[in-house]
Amino acid sequence: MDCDRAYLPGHIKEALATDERTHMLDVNVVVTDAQVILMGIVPCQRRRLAAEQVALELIPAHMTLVNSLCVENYKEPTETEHLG
Amino acid sequence: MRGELQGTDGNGTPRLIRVAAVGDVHVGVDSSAFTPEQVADLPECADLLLLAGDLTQHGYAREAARLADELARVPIPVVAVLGNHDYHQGEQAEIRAELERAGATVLEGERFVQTIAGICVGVAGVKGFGGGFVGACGSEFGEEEMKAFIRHSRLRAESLQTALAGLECELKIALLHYAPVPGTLLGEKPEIYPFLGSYFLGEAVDGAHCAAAFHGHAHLGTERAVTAAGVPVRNVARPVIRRAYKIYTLSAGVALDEAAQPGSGELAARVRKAS
Repeated sequence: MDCDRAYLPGHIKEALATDERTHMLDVNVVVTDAQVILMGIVPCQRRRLAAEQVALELIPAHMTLVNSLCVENYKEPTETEHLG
Repeated sequence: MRGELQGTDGNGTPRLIRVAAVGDVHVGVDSSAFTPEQVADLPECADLLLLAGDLTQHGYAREAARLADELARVPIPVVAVLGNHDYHQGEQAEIRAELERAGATVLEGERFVQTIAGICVGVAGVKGFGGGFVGACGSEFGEEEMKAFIRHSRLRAESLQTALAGLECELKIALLHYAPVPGTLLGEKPEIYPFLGSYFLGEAVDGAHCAAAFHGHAHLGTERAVTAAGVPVRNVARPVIRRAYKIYTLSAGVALDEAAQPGSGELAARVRKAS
């Protein structure tokens, strides 16, 4: 793995955490030979696209971005746990 | 047993409180925490709603205002702590004010006491901080930056300890954002545990004989764990529970086995060993 590619996930994660458009700390970033893949769960489509935009600004031209972030849809609970 | 006597009403029916808990709702101007249906259904399944921090995405008061509009319609008591996201813009005081405008109680080294469902319930809350866990934690040693990091963690835990000590109620609950035990971090990379919680918090929870502790922050962690003394800890970060909130029941007046309580024995011994 070339040096730039080795540090690319770190740079993208740092940008996703600190960029005003995202502030996302829990996006998983995987880099392969030709792809950068974003994985995780976000609350809405707008935030999913914001993460994509921030990442796109950092990846080299020869790489493609795969946005695998899922938009959450949390339902009400179906069970109760008794804690004692 | 004392618990059998105090934990039942006159007819022998267990006295329970139903707690809805969730953290890390990360409300933005582009999202909400709950659907109107989820808000409307809350009193059917819970007596108290706990919010375990990271209530906003970017730390803006205007995001909290959006959440406050939702919480204003919640007809049960709402108790919250803030999280690291809520501090990002330096607007934590305004965020707190927005939530309080909606009738929520926001805790930072403070306590909430109310009789709910016939049970005197006390919640002590604090955001907490990182620092790590016994055997793999930082110390107040070396550079000023390192000392400041751990000092902040220790002081937040001490404020929790003080708040818990002041609770006079049947049921004590600790509400945190950062984790008090490493058990609920399973799934996160071990390298970042020191940024996810601190054993100082767990020691405070154990020292007060809490019935349960709830926290968020660790999105990739695990829901269930216990403290060194056996207090149930639940990581209710929304990506962990994968629900709008989770419902837990707690019994009033459960007798605590004094031999199993934290006293400081085992935990303090471990701390001394680590240091």
